[in-house]
Amino acid sequence: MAPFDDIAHIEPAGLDGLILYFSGTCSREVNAKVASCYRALKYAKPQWLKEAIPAYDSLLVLFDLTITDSHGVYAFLRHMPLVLETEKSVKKHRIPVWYGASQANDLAQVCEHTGLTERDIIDLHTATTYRVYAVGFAPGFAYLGDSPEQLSVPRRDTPRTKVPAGAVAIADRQSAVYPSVSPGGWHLLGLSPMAMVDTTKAVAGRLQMGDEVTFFAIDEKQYRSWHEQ
Amino acid sequence: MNNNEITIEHIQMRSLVVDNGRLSGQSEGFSEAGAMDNQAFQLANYLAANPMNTPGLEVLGSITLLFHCDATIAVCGPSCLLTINDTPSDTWCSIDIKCGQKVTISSEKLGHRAYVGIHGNWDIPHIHGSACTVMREQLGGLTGQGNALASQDRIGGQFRLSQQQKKLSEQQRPNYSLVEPFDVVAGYQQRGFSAYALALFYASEYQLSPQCDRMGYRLSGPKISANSKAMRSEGINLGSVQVPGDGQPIIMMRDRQTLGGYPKIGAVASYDIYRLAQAVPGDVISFRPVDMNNARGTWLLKQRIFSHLTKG
Repeated sequence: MAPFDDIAHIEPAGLDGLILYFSGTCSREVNAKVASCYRALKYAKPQWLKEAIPAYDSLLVLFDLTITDSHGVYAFLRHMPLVLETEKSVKKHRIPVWYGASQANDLAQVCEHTGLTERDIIDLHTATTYRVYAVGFAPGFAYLGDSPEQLSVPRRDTPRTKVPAGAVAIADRQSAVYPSVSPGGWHLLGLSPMAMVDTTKAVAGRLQMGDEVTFFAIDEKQYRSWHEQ
Repeated sequence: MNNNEITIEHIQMRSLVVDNGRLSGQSEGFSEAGAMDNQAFQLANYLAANPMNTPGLEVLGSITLLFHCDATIAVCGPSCLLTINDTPSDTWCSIDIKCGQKVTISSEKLGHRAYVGIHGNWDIPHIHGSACTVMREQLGGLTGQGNALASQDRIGGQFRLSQQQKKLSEQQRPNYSLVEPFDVVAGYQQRGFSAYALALFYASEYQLSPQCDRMGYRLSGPKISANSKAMRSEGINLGSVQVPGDGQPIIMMRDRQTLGGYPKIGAVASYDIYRLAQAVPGDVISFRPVDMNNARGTWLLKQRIFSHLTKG
């Protein structure tokens, strides 16, 4: 099974880009195919590769026009060998959350939407093993899926102009930790003291495509003392 | 005060430190960034005898610089203006500035971007290989915090005279006319648009709305309806033509976010982006579809002309 066989279709994406689309029976399966193709491409490192941007069900491949054209890229992908996922390549993260922190608390609205109690919400959120489906929107912002169906909430009617760094949020069946202060329309559950991005590093984001993420609850005191440990 | 630096005396509107951008960070969520009009930016560096990725200034409105050293500079842009101690000077050529001189850069037409290349090296932090400012990401620029340039800022570095005098003739400068349609490489969700919607898009004129910034240019004109089949967010290449629910296309520019979920007709060919970058709200533009391979041919040809010019 070569990564190419998982590609459902390919479309041009600008003068120097091809976007590969994958399909499958569930979002996790589709995203695993994207990750597998992305891994194979990064490993093969063809000279023409400028950048590859993976997302939920697609992989945007940008190439150097002086070296190749879309046919060359296509031919390369066609014969690209599979690179097996190793235990080491799936990183597991445990992220502490001070649920209900006053600067990041939409628990009341989430209760209203879902009919759950605050305790239920926290229990469901901490019981879920999330997968990083994509990194984008802002440096180090990881889209995590899937939240249990009961925890699914729409976006806020009015997005916040300023979501604090570390805010843990949900929208639809996704979750995320805002790596830095930014506008945002997701419902906030609390704050994490863990830094999500270090822009001075070669790999800036803590969370990478395909990583596994679980959350655990801490209280205000633990949040405040996190950096002293 | 370090005697080899440049201080900013006065700013009107917005000036940013730019370079070729951070292409390699996009899989981590960093904007591509980079000079909006990459042609004028690179030519300014060429005229200032710099390597092509040396940081430079992108000036919207005007900026006045005070030089505390001798340095060769070059100013490029579709309607750029340069004065030295209030005396008009030439643009699109190498200019030697003397220590103590006051230099003002602006554009005749509001909304045009002027680029300044300064010969030498900058003391400036690089993040993911680039010093380019992205205000939204609080990244890049003089301090690395994503701030636009402000009056009293100091540009530190080793700036000097280049000993090379270069000049571009009218013919050698980029053509900024908006009469020719913009080439669009069809792709992405193109098949999700009806034949009527695509024909309408390519046959119509669009006006640049006031909502144009480094992230994207929002157009106004005939409404294009997309089959609103739900799609997941996906990677957005430079120049992508997004069509949101209101049917008014948005062309994604340098500071675009890396992922987005609106259907796209295709992407404006990268060789046409500099021209679009210098269009201003109220300007009228149109589009034509090009085949990906023909577009590559055009790109290679333009690239060859450019390297003949800059590499002599």
